[in-house]
Formats: sequence, C-alpha cells, structure tokens
Amino acid sequence: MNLPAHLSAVFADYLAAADPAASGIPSPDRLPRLPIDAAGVKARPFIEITITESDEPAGHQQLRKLEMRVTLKAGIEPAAGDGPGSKRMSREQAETLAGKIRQRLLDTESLKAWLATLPESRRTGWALQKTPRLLNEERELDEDSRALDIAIPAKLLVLVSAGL
Amino acid sequence: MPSFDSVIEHGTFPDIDLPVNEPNLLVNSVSFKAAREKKEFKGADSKAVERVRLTNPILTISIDAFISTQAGLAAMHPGKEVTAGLENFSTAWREFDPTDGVLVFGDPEDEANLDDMVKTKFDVMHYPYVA
Repeated sequence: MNLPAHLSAVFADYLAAADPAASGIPSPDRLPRLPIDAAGVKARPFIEITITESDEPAGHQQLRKLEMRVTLKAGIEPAAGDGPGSKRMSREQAETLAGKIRQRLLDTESLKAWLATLPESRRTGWALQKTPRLLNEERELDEDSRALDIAIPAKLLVLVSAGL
Repeated sequence: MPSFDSVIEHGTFPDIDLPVNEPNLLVNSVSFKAAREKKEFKGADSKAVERVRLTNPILTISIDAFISTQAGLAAMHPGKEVTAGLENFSTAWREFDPTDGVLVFGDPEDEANLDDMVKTKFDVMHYPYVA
C-alpha cells in the first residue's frame, strides 16, 4: 500500500463528506476535494490534499510520521474577462472557508465516526494514532492571476500493521 | 569467477530476536539486569575478601515502549503480578526461568506529548523463589 496516496484519498473523501450547511464548506461539485494523484483539469476553487512521508524518525518500525498539506486553492476578486459564471470569491470569503476546513480537520469525533463507516479494505492496515496536529497556515498570492493558496500543514501519526 | 566464496562463515550465529511487541505495547527496547546481593567478608590479617555470600537472585526486565492500547501492561498498577507473562521473557534468561516464581510489575513512567504516541517505561521484577 502506498500509504501517503491512500491517506490523501481518505482525507479528500472525509472533507467531501462534510455537510455543507453544518460545516460551511461548499459541496464537492462546487469545491472539489482533490487527492495528491487526482487527474484532470484543476480549476479553482478546489481543495488539494497532499501527504508525504516525514523525515522525522517515528520511533518504532510500525509507526509512520506523515506530513499533510490541505490547500485551499481559490481565485479571489473579480478579474478582467471573468464571465457571469465566475467562481472567484472575496479574500474574506476565502479566509472564512479556510477556517471552516481547519475546523473540519480538527473535528476528531466526526473523523473517527466517518472512518468507521469506510469499507474494511480502506481502513485496515493502518490507524491514525492522534488527532491531526495542525500547524500555522501558509498563504501565497499570485498578484497577476489573483490566485490565492491557503495551506494548512498538519502532522499525522499512523500505526501500520506489521509487514506493511 | 574466483575459486573461493565471497562469504565464509564459521560456527553458528546467535538467534535472539528481541525485543518483540507486548500486547498493547509497541516495544522499543528491553533490558535485563540479573543481580544478587553481595556480602563480602574480609580476613582480619589479609584485609582482603576471603569469603563472599551472594544471595537473593532477582532479574529486572526494563521495557521502553509506546502504548497502543491502554490495557494490560499499559494500564497495570505498580506492584501487581504479571500473570500473563512477558513476550520478551518467554524463555530462560541467564538461568532465570519464567516458569519459576512470580513476575511483579513496577515503576511505570508514562509520558504524553503532541507529536508521539504515549510513551511508557517500566520494570518487571522476576522473583524466582516466591512461591
């Protein structure tokens, strides 16, 4: 199993499962959640989930430390040539949305309950050992295209089955 | 190809596969301290040890591990007997035999931090003469 890719898809689905009304995060058809290896054209806005192995030693052969980045990739403020169907949002809306995504990631109870509903094949062989530890957000704005990235880095600690 | 082997071995290699995980614990290290109390008697004239009495054999097994589930050894109260035995002491070690005496759990120290699973360190004392 490619654990980073597997967990990237799992977290993409977890974010996609958020109830838009309760979580404040638009439905996946309006705001796709794309795992690390998603194919196709990526049109903003979308949420990208990348997970890589950490360089930090995990302390035991059955433990793996991973680094996750959940990035809201949005287009902000109207730009020349935008049609009526533009999906651009204001800076404030993007910041609010990033906060909602952060809340969703920190909702341990929802995460645990949702993981329990996964098919056995998707949840065997690994187990999250702690609530994802979210770090400070990082922002990057492209002045020309008004593309705003708000990345939420997180650390994951995963127990894997012996032999995985 | 050379006429000689690239690897030449003599004798047998030790077959010790430790540490192994205990139930509810991911074991990082295990250490064994086999000890006896020592009483030395010096001669009046020689001022050197002429007789030694070694008593009270005890094997102390120290385990350093991550807690995967808070049960069994990961939740045991100090002083209680480890009735289920230890995976890391399943056969005799320096003639201390796990089928003799009792195993007593002692001195657990647990540490939790943001980045890791909860760590624990504890000793298990093997008293071979306790009936």
